[in-house]
Amino acid sequence: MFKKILIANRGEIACRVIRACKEMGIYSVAVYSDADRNSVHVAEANEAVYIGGSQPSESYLAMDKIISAARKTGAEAIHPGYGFLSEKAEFAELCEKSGIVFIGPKASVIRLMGPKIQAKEQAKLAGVPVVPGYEGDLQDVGRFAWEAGEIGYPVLLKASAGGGGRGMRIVNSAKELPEAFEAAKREAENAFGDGKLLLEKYFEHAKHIEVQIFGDNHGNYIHLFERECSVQRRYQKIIEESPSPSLSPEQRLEICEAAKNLAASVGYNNAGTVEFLLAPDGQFYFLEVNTRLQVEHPVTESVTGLDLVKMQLGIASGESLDHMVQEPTQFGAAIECRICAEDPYNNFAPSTGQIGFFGTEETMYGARIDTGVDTDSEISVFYDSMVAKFITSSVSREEARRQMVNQLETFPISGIRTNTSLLINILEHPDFSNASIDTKWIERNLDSLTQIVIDDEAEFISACLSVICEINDPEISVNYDKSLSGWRNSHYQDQYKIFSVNGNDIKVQYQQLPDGSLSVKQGDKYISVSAADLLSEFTTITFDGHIHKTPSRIAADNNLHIWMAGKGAFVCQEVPRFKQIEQETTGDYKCPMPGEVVKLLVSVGDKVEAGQGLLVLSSMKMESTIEANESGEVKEIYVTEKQFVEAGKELLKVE
Amino acid sequence: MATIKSKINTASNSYKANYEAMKLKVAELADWMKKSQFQGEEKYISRTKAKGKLLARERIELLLDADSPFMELMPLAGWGTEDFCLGGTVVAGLGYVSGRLCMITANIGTIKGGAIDYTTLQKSLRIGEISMENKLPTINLVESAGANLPDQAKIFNYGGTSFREITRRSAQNIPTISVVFGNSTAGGAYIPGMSDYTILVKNQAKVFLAGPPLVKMATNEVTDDESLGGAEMHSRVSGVADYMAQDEADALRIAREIMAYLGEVKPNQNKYKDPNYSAEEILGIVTADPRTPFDVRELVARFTDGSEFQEFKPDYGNTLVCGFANVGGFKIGILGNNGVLFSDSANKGAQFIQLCNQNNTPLLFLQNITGFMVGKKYEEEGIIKHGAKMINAVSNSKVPAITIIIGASYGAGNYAMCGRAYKPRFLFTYPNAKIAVMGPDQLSGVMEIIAREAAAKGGYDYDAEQGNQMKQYMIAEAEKQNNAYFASGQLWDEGIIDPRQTRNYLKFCLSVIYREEPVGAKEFGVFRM
Repeated sequence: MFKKILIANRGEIACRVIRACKEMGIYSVAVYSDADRNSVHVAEANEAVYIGGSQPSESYLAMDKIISAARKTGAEAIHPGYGFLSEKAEFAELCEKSGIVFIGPKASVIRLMGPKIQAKEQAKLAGVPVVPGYEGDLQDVGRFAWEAGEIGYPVLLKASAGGGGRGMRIVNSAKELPEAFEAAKREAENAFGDGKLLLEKYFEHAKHIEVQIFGDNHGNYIHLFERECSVQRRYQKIIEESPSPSLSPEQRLEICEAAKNLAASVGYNNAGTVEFLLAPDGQFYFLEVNTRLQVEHPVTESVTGLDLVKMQLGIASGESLDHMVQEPTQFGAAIECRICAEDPYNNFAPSTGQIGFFGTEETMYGARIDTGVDTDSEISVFYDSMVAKFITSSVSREEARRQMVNQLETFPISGIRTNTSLLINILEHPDFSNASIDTKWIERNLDSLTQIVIDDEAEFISACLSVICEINDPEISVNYDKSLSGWRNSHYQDQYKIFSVNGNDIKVQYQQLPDGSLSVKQGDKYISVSAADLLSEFTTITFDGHIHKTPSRIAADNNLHIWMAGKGAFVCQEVPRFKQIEQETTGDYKCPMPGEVVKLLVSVGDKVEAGQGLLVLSSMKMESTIEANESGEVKEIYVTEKQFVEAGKELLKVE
Repeated sequence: MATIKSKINTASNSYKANYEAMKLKVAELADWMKKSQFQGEEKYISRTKAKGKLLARERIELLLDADSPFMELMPLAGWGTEDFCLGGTVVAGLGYVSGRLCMITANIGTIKGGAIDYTTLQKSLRIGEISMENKLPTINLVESAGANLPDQAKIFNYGGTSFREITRRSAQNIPTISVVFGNSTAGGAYIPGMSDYTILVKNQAKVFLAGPPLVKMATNEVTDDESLGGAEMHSRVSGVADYMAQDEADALRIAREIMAYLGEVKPNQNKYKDPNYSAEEILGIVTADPRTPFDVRELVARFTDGSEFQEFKPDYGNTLVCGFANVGGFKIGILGNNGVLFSDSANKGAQFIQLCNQNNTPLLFLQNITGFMVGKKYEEEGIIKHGAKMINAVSNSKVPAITIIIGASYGAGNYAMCGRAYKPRFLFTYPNAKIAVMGPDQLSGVMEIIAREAAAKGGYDYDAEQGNQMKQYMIAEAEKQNNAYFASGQLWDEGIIDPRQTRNYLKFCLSVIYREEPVGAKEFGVFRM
């Protein structure tokens, strides 16, 4: 076994690998970019090496830097995690050349399975059914149109080098094809540096089933059963589980064996995943092979009792699978949810910034959390929006589901928007229990799943707690005795404060009572409100006799962050009583969120109409267009393409 | 420090009966306080609100720091008089603006246009005095039609004092900020005119010596309010205004900003224990009828920190209880009556006042005094000169004093115990208090004796029937004028207070007083009396 390895990744997966290292007595080396200087994975590793700028191309994708970090630290092997360099054959090759073990399949296997077209051919050879499609080299829109006609609409355009849904387009008719072809090509080029596309038949109601495979360097191949990942939004998996509730035992056997056969046919070594599409008629088709550890590997770990990362390390160090696994079995059920920093109520806009509040592992009763963030962690624009994975498991799927809902409701996260409400809505939907969710289900049900439910009372309670925290703030020193605060010998009107709670202004009218509690006006009556253990994870508020557990904290953004179990996070900021009267300026466009200017759509001197796109901004891998809010002429442009821009910076001026 | 151990039995009938009687008195007070918040008839209020303007009390509330305490002064000024309204047409009190303690006044523009009547003027003069004595910056929220013309004879001469005092305070580095929300005409124009800082609200403020009608009468010039005395003109042309505010809230914001640069914020970090006994019990202790005595220590135990009281000469002159204590972490010397003042109690009081001057301790007088003891024996032992020593000590004391009339306040006892004429910084009255030269029974009794003596001397028969009628009439008249409300109406105090709030009033007043280190008179060493 290795003595020291380097983890060429960040976030939760880096932490996950470091944990396995600790358990195995392996010394771990982390690498970090500018943005990750204070990240959890850096803190948890035994040592960490700086590898460059925040843009992945300058650090986590910079192969030479990672190799030299490994050399410098004497790491014998590199674990690539997922994403970044994990499926780059060149990198695996470079490792091999540098005498460093790449913890993953051989470069030749990656090369064989990586390009989708080739992988599909290989699957066909191994007797695995594949989706009808076109994988030819002729990357011309005319040919694509003809092939699409042959296969029959709807069809799917995919990036050959891609994954994770980027560069994918559904095309419903011949008319839509040319435009979709251009867009998919551009996205593929931007995302993978390779614009090559392929075409596939598109199934309207398909499910996503994948099989975990393992091979070692001694010719042993196993499967560790399937996972179902049908809960997806725009090809991004959100909820994964094992076993799949959609398979019969016969189907399970068939699909798992097919995957194992494919692995054996290519001499697969280390961990991999064979992805299948399950059509409504029960027929499955090969989609692709992911030659790495998957995000959703924990559900397989939960039902098999195995540690996949440890197995990866074992295989990479030359151990035989026979010594690790005898007869893998699938026991109980496990569910994983991906917690992402995005706002489901605002078109899933990426949410960046500092986390105000993040629960601890102890908070998760009986559940597993894999994360790379903590209280005060900064969610930057440069990387994936996933901040944590929750994994629950039990003897039954239903109990695992209930546990998960409970975890999502009670685990404190604030400061950033997350998709927890969406996850809860999905898990609570009868379609989830009935296992009738396909990969397009979210898109079809998005409106009802992301309906904003404003809990007026929870917001009001948060505002009341904000008032109490402020009144008791030892930092605020006043000339008078604090016991007199708000005292009147002739009471004319209530004291009041206005707090913006999650963006809604809430006025709290109150009178302070001698015991420090508040008499708060709610409607036309007064209720008693008091709080204890302010600004701690044990804060409680007694609101009209009802005790709520409300962990609270002043976060780095100077706002009060409150978490209410079952209600979510509330970020409270006092609204000043007096507004400085400012001269309004129009025509200035400010950057709404930190990101990179992908494309300028106008030039100085252009006449623009209201609603016309001005520039395209990319933040957390999501593109958004800044539109003109009124007609005018572009007077000045302050940014250039490829420039990284902070939120609030002026972009351009239209008059 | 020694702690007072209460001997009160809250289950006793006398306690319960007194509690009920006092409860009625504080309820009556609450009722009057509510009435004192009247800000004009509904039509004026709604007209003002329709214009987006704030009422006087709303302006104060918005000006104050959020959570600042506010102690309104003289809310019942003019009680029982024929003047415009209870409290006059100005709201006044102390509170914190940008962390600084300020005197705040606000004209009630919705009552008679905020015109100044006799009560309002007298109240304003006392407010000026408090500001000067306590070196308090003042913020005037101005909206007043000026002197109430039918009253002009009563107020014209004294009215000048207001303007004089603004600038005299200024000379002592005590600034005045005036925010003009509406009319501020004729004499009233000198309120902003004399102030250190003036803020005029755009399209609302009208500051001129004479309005358009009088200008037309005087010079035949035809003009309008805005060009004659609007905020724009005064900000851009005359320079009468230092700041022009966009609206009322903006004006208050500017006043707060100015305050933020005046004086320094000295955070109160006093540490102390609360009293060991509930303030609610004060209602069962302080007797509703001042003729019934009670032990003043029981009251003291309910407002001093930790109910502590370091009693001075406890076994000497025990009708006057003296001692040191802390309230809200502030040191005070307390003098409280436990009966008539005798020679020994007067001497003890004089000595204690001197001690407090020597060790720079502010004084708190708790008046429940029917006077000095009378009678041949006492005259012979020189009660006059002993009383004079105490009055002398009070008169020449230089440490700040607070007086609360907790029961009777009769005769020279009022003087010795730092009554209004002896200029305590603050004087408050309990709702059960009686203030007069003597009690109504004594007064009428004395009058009867004089009448009988006159009859005897004149050689006619004393008409007992008529005498009795006369006596009843005199008792009724005396009662009318000796109660707390009459006293407060005459501005003999800063207000009638709910006895349960005593500690809060004291904490507040002591934080006013302690803005400067108290310094006592040092002309002589302490005389042992």
